[in-house]
Amino acid sequence: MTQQQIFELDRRTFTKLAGGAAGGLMLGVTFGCSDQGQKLQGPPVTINAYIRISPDETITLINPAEEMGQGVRTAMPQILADELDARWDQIFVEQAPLDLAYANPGMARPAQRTSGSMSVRYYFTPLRQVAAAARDMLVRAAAEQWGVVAAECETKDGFVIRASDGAKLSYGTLADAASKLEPSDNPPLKSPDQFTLIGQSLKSVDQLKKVDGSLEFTIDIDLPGMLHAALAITPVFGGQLASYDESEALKVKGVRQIVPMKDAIAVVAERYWQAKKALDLVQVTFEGGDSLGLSTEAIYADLREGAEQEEGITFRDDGNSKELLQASQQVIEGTYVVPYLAHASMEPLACVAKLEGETCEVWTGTQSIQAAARSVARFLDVPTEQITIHTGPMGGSFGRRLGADLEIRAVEIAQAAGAPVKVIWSREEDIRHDYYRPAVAAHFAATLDEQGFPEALDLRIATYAMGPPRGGRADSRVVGSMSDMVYHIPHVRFGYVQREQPIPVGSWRSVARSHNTFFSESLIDELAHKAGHDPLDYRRALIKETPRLLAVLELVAEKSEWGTALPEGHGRGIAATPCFDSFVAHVVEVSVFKGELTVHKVINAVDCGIAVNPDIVVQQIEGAMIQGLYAALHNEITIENGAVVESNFHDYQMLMPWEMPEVETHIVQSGELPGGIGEVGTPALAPALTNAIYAATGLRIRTLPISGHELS
Amino acid sequence: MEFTIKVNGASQVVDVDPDTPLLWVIREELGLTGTKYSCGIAACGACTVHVDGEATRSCVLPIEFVGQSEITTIEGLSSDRSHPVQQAWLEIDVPQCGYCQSGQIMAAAALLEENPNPSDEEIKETVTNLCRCGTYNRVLKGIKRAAELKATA
Repeated sequence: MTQQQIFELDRRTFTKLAGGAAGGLMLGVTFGCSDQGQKLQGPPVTINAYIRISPDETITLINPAEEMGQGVRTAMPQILADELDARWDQIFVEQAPLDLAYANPGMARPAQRTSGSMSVRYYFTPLRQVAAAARDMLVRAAAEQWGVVAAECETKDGFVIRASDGAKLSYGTLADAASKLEPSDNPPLKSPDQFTLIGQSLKSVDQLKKVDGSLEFTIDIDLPGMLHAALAITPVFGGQLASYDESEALKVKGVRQIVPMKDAIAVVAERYWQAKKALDLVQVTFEGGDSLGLSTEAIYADLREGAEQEEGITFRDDGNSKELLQASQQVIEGTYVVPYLAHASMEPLACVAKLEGETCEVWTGTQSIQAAARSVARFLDVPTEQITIHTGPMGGSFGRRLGADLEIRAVEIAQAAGAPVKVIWSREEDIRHDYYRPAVAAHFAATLDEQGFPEALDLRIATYAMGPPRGGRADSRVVGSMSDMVYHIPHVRFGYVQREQPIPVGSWRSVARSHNTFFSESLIDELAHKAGHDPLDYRRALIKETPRLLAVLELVAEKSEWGTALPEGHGRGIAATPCFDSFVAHVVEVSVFKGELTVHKVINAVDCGIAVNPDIVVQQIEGAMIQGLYAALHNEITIENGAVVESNFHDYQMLMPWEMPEVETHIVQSGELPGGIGEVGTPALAPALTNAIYAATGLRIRTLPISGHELS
Repeated sequence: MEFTIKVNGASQVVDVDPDTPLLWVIREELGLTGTKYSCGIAACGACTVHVDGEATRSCVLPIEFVGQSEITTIEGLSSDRSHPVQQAWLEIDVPQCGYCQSGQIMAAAALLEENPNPSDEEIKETVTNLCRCGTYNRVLKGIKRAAELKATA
C-alpha cells in the first residue's frame, strides 16, 4: 500500500474521530504543556479534538505524538497552525491524552504510537484536514455575524477578514459561535504555495525550558508523599530471585522497605540516593534463567551457521537465483554479523506510580501510551478506564520505551510500598535490561554478468525473533527493508532464518534497516569493487528505477566532490537507502594511519518530501547519522554466562566530542508528501563508513563494531 | 548529618549522609532538577555544575567534600536565560531531547570564563559532555557564538 492510499483509507475514520471533542475514552492527563509558561486566560473553547481557542486569542493545539528529541512538539503544531491560519506566537502545545481520537493514521489497528518515523509522515494530511475544518467553522461563524457568504471571507494570522472592506474578527471572539457549528465534510486544504509555517525553520518548542533546566522529565517528577526506589533485576534473563538478606540495607538512613519481586529486588527510601546506597548492601542471589550459560561467541556462531547453512523462509524469489548460483564457478560470497545494541538514552528509565483505591496514576515517558495503560490494567486486573497515564518528554528513547516494562515495575513497587513511588533505573540496570537491537548474521552469494553487474543474488539473514513466530512468515520487523531492495538485479532470492534466544530484543532507531542496510550497501560495494567499477557509477546504473534515491546519490556525490583525488591513506565511502518513505545518501571521508581511524567528514543528502521544518530535518539527519556512527565505531552488547557484560558509558561508548567529523546536510526541495525523518539518518551511515575504510585500506569490514578490528 | 552549603548564592542547610553525592543533594534536598543524573560515574557530564567556577561532575562529589565552595547550578546561571551561552543555545537551537543540555551549558559557561576565545580543539578537549542525540557540532557552534556574545556584552 502506498502512503497516499493509507491516507485515503484512514482519512474518514480519522476525521470522524478527531472531529468531535475528545471525550469518552479520555483517561490521560498531561504535563509539560506550553513553552511560554504563562497561564491561559478565560475558558478555552474546544473546536475539535486538536484545537482549543481561548477568548484571549491563545490557541492550544494538541500534539498526538510523544516528544523524545525528534521535534514533533514543533513540527506537528506547525502543520496544524499553518492550515488553521494562526500566528505561531499565539500557539500553545499540549500533549494528547489517552484517546483514540489521536491514534496514528499509519497504524493498521488504531493506536497512539510514536515510532517508525510515523508522526509527520502519517499525520500530515489528517492534521491539515482537522485544522481546515476548524478554519472553515471560524469562517462560517464570521460570515454569519457579518451577514455575508463564507466565500467572501478569508483568514490570516488568527483573524477572519471580510474581503470587501478588510474588516476583521479574531479567532478568539469567534471561537464560541464556531464551536456550535457542524464541521463540513471536505473543507478545502491550502495549496503548498499558500503555506505560511510549513517549510519554515521555526525554533523548537520547549527550547526555553531546555536551556534553563526547567523542562520536567519523568525523572524530575515529585509528588507529595512520594518515595524513591532503586532496582536490581536478575542479571540472567529469565532468572528469579532466590534469597536476600536485608538487614544491613535497612540500617541506611531513610530506607523504608525492601520489595522482593519474582525476578528483582527494590529498595524504597525517602530519597533515591538512600535507596541506591542501601540496594548495594542487600545480600541478594538470583537463580536460574533462560539465558544461563549463553555467550556472545555462541550466539554469533549460531547466527553464522543459520545464515550460511540453512534455507529458512524464502520470502522473495524472483528469477532463478538458486540455479544460477549452483551452476556458477565464480560465486562471490561473504557473511556479515552485527551485534546486539542497547538504546542507552541519556535519561535512564524512570517511572512514577500512585495507587489509590481502585485507580492508578502513572507518570512516564512512553512511545506507546496505550501499551502502558493496557499493561498496567492487566497487571492490576482492573479495567483500563481506571488507569491514568501522564506522559512527558523523554530524554531520548530510540525505541526503548515502546513496551511497558518500566510502568509495570513502578506500579508493582508502589503497590508494595503503599505510597506513590518513583523508580529510577541506574545506568547499569538501564543498559543490562534493555530490549536490544538484535544481533544478526547475513550471508550473501552473488554472480556478476559480463559487464560486472549483479546477475543473481542470494541474501539470507539469521536472527532472533522480535516476537512469537507468525505462521511461518518472515517477521517484517527484521526483514522489512530487505524485500524492497532497490537495486535492479535480475535474479534475487531473499531468506530469513529464525533462531530462538532468550535475550530480549526490540526496535532500535531505524529498526530492520539498522542491520539490513549495512548488509545490502556493503555487499553492493563489494560487488562494485570486484567488478572494477566505481561504487557510485555502479549504484547509478542499478537504481535507475528509483529516481528519488538516484537524486540524493547524485547530490551527495556532487557535494563531496566524489572522484577527486584524496591524500594518501584517505578514502571515501558512499551508501544510500530509502527509509520510511524518505531517501538518504551519505559520503564519508576517513583516513587510516598506522591502524588509527579518523572520520574526517560526512556529507548527507535527504529527500523527505515536504520538509515541514527544515532545521529540524537537518538536526534529525545529523543526530541519527551520529548515532549510526558511534554504534558502528564502538557499540556492542556482549553476553557472558547469560548476562550482559556492558554496564555504563565507559564500556558502552558514545561519540566523544573530539571524534566528531565535519558534517554537511543537504535537503532536496520536494513537493511530495512528507516521509519519515527521525530515523532516516541512521541506517546507511555504517556501510558508508566501512566502504570508506575499504577505499582507504582495502580492508572489508564485515562485522561491527569497527573497534573490534585491527585496521593496519 | 547537617551540612551548610552555598548554592546559587544562598546558604542551604541539608541533613544527609556524608557520602551523598552533591547531585542528589541538589536534586532531592533542594529540588533543583535542572541538573541531571545519567551515568553516576562522571562519564557523561549531565550532572555538571560549577564548584567555585569550575565545571564539576556532581554525581561523584560527596557532600562532605563540598565545604564552603560556591555551587552554581543551571538554575543559578542566570534568572532569565540571559547568560551568553543560553542566548547562543537559543539562537542556534542546540538541544534535541534536551536532557544533557544543562550539563553542556554549564561546561561551556565554565570554559568561557577561563578562556574567552577557545579554539575548536580547546572546546572539544574541555567540553567532553556526552549527547546521545548527537548535538556535538551545534554545541561547538553555540560555544563559539557565546564567545562572541560575551565579548560584545
